Amino acid sequence: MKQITYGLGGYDPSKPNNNIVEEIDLPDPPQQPLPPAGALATLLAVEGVLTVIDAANAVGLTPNDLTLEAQAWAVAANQP
Amino acid sequence: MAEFSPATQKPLVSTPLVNEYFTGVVPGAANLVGNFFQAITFLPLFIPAAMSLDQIGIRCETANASGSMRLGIYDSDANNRPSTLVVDAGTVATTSTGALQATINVSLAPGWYWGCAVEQGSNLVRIRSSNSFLSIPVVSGATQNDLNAPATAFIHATATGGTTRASVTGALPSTAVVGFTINGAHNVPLIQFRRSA
Repeated sequence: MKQITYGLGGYDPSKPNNNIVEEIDLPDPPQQPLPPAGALATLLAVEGVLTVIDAANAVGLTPNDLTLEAQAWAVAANQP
Repeated sequence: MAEFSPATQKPLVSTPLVNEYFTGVVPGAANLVGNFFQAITFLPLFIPAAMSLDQIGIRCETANASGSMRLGIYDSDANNRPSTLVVDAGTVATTSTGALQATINVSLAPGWYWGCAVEQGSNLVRIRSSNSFLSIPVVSGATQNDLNAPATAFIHATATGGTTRASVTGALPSTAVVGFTINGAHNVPLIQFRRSA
């Protein structure tokens, strides 16, 4: 996420760079672990017991939530 | 029961440290909701100790090529309603998403204030807001509503008050004439501030 800071007076096209005094890229916040039900749904999807969509729907999450959780598991499993 | 007084009551929030960001009294979880175009929306802001602020900002989630959001702070009157303009921070260009903030230089005494945001330039911009209506005792109507959406966030209205959405196209007015919507689907803008001293 980008953070843009304007100087006093805010946006001003008459000033250099529209009065932007700082522009930095903030790191994305780390993925938060899913609650136990989400973790179980992810496990069932990974093991092929349920489709990702069905597993996500069962616990009120999105398929992307489960995908990100599974990716986090994979990263953790590959760490020494 | 004694009336609330910032001078006698314990603070409702912790005191932010120097260089820490903080927000106001947020009535619900963060969400992405629409804003009223060219109408001022307020966020209750309690300052528990004398401090100076140097940043005021929002998080833009949906940008627009002509979008801008004007930010500012009002103080409170004797009834804890938005009153006199403390600082008009100008606008931040909501032409891109992300954290957008303006530099301010203001010293505040302890008490209630109101952060405010007004969407200008484009009505297609969305900023991070609270998904719950503001429902605190200082916001009430002249007539009883059905309590479906009790006392939504303040909206700057015309000089006569009421529910009209004023066209605030430029600088913030020096005095906040507040109205309110009843059953209006209006949410509270999440505004961040940074303490500098």
